[in-house]
Amino acid sequence: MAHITLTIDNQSVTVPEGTTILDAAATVGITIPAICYHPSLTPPAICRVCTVEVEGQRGLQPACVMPVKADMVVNTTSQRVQTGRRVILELLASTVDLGEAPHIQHYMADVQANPQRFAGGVKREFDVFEDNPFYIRDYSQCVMCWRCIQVCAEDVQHTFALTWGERGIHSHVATFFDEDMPDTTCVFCGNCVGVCPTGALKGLVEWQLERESS
Amino acid sequence: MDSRLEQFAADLRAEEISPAALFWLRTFIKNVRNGVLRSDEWVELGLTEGATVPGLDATDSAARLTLLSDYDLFQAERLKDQHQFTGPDLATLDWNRKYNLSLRVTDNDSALMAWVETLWAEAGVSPQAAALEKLLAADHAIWGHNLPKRSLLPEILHEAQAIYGGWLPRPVLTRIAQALDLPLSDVYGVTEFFTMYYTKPVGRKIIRICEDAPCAMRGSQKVQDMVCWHLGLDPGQTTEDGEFTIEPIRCLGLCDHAPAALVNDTRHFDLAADYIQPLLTNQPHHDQHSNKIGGLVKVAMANINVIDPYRLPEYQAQGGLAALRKALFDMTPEQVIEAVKASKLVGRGGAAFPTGLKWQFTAANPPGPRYIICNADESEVGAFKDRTLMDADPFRVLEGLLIACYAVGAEQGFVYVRGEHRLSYERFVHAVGQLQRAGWLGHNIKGSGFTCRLAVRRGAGAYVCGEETALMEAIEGKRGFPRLRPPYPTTHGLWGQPTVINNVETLAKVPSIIFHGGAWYSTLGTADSAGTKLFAVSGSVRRPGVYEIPFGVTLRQLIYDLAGGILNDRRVQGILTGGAAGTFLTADHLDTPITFEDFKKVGGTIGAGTMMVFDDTVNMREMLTRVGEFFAHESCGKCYPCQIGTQRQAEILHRIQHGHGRPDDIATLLELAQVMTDTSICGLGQAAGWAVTDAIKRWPELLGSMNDER
Repeated sequence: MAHITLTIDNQSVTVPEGTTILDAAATVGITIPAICYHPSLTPPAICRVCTVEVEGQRGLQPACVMPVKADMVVNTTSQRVQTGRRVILELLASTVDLGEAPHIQHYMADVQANPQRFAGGVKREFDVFEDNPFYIRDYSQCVMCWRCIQVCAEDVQHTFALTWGERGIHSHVATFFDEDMPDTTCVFCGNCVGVCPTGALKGLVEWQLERESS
Repeated sequence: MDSRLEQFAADLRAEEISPAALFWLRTFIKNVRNGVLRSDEWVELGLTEGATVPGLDATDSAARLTLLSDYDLFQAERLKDQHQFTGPDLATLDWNRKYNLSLRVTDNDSALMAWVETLWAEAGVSPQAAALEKLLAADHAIWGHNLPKRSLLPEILHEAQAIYGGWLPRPVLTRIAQALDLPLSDVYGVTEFFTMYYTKPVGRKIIRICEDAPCAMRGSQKVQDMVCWHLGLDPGQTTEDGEFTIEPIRCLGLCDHAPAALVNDTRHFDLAADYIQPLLTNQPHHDQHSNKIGGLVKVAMANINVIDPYRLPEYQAQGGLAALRKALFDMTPEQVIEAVKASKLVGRGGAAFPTGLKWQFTAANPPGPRYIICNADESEVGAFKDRTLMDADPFRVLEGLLIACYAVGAEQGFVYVRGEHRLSYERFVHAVGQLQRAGWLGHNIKGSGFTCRLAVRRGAGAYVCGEETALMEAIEGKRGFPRLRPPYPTTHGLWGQPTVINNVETLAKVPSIIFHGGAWYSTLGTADSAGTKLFAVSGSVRRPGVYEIPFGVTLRQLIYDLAGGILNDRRVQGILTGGAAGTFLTADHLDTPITFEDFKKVGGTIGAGTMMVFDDTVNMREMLTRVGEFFAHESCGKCYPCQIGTQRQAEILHRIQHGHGRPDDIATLLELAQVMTDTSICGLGQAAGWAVTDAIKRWPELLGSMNDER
């Protein structure tokens, strides 16, 4: 396979053709933060936290899907990249509860994001759905990374229990007419719980034990 | 009771005729009373059913002329073609004319209504369910092509919603999903995305009063308040009797008649405090269609107010289809592309990409299916140039589309019309039918060897679907999420095939370019901005309307000479060019020539060709808040910066407008706009902060002194 040499943060990197910037960076120990990205799933490239500066490109580019090109010059820590990352994390923190997403909190600390900056506006708040014997859904913690929707659909299970409700700031994960999980096509495979990056999806027993101990 | 009605009832009970016939009879009677009837593709299916109904007998001309209410040629002529009307008198009708038809009722209509309601109540199978089955069983050839079933979903949702009284009950969605082999969740996800699909009961009359700047400046808020007060509702609510819903709506593209509203599909113009009753009865005091046009040249608008948009022969009498004929018989596809390249025509939807180049890239793909889409989803705030073109001269747009199909080698073209523009949709469908009948569509057109079909599709309330990749998702029957690019549509578009997507105005320019030659067109305008451009001028001008000008005319000429200057002789405070996703110019820029190059120098955008003019009495903070709310409402929610950023931007603008700004708000707005531009997936998010950034730059004091309420 052909190999490609490019520059990431002033380091020369050589990777097979077709590698993404994110993976190429990882080969030289550069970790680019990302929320929606999961190595086993189709990257939707929607969190935009992994966007990096590529010389010659107008906007910032999502490292999770952008394939490397020969002589590409990438900067993953420039002021512009850090500003984008910080503002997106501040926006997210103003919208959902990130209390059980330590890695996102860690990203925030790295760029000195102020979680209160956009506070006071519309938040996504929901009651916890406790509608089946296996897992709970706490969409107040949902960051809309789409992973659960994807594993439930073509990426893994082909069950199609989940979809998107509404749009814009009010986007949320939904079922057909918001019916309870046992009434949907859900087969309780647990894949969605496995890929959830926050505390939004959680085993029922784990959730009950946590509640008892708190 | 009329013995024919007795026979009808007996046949219905004996299952010799489908309950769907009862559904249509009831629809007709109700609409006779309300004075409106739906008119669209599926109605003909209903009429086939309805033809079995006594009183809907079309075999004598008296009955024909009193058959349906407000039911125009749009449907009737297709029935004639399909030989569903068989009366001898029909042969003498002029099918290019438009007839108003009404139901002939033998007894008085209340008795008929009561009779129908009795039958309705006793029907074993729900007549609505029967109508739905008819809809789902319809041979897909009615759409003129073989495409993935899913792409019918948006149209079927529209039609099913009409059958079920304006909303989609859960069993109906279940049935539709089953018929189209789609997961329930997918179908529900689509209904959730588009604002014009309802999964809960909604008023029989949905009143939508425009909330955006051009209407707001002329008092739409007052009218909305009056209507709300009159009905005792808040926006978004429905009256207890289920008669009215008031729904806030973003720009309707009727800015030349501001303030404007839609009641169901009917347009209401020039609203005022004493115009409440026509809204409530849905009986406007004016035609549905009036063109306020002007300008210095007539290229795209040559036929407007000249021809009847329902009559192909009139279009042809003005030289229509001569360009298509020339392309098909005297030119190779390569020559067509060369002519468009030579014309220097660039896209008129806002991105200004060279049209000929786009066609060339797409034509260069390996052999295989490819598509051309006419983007008629005009939804930008203050934009109504495309609406004017498609309402008044749909043939020209379709001719351009056919020429594009020929040039690129596409056998299937689409027109994707904004859901709110029902009239435009009907006219396109009608025009496609006329072209089909005249032999300008279908297999081996006029013996040229070129085969092409066109399909007209409706949107359902989503600004983002004007973005090309979101539009493709919508045509495919999915939620209108923009796609990641690359790859680009010229190689991976509709169903992953090479696709050209062109704006209405772009295509409307093509016939003239082919007929007169690319060189002719390129001499109009300036060296770097070739040709003519349509501008929709709205706001504080005396004569809002669409003006066609060659590039190079100054802003002052457009606003003062053509649009009549500023109302009440006030001064220009600002001009928002390019729509909500545009930029502000001020009175200092009035002598700027309107060209891409000159606008670039002063930091303006041509965009989709809107000019919203604000005089010095307009509260610009309020206008900015409306721009902010527009984006927050229309964000699809796919990528984080736009999903959340547009909402926070609107919140900050709102608090500044009301005097509660915080010291760092300006810095925050600027940074937010930059991040949205840098990181958003599509143009909506990327442009969401431009107008705000520009306002801060142009009027530093406007948002800067934040503690006074203006």
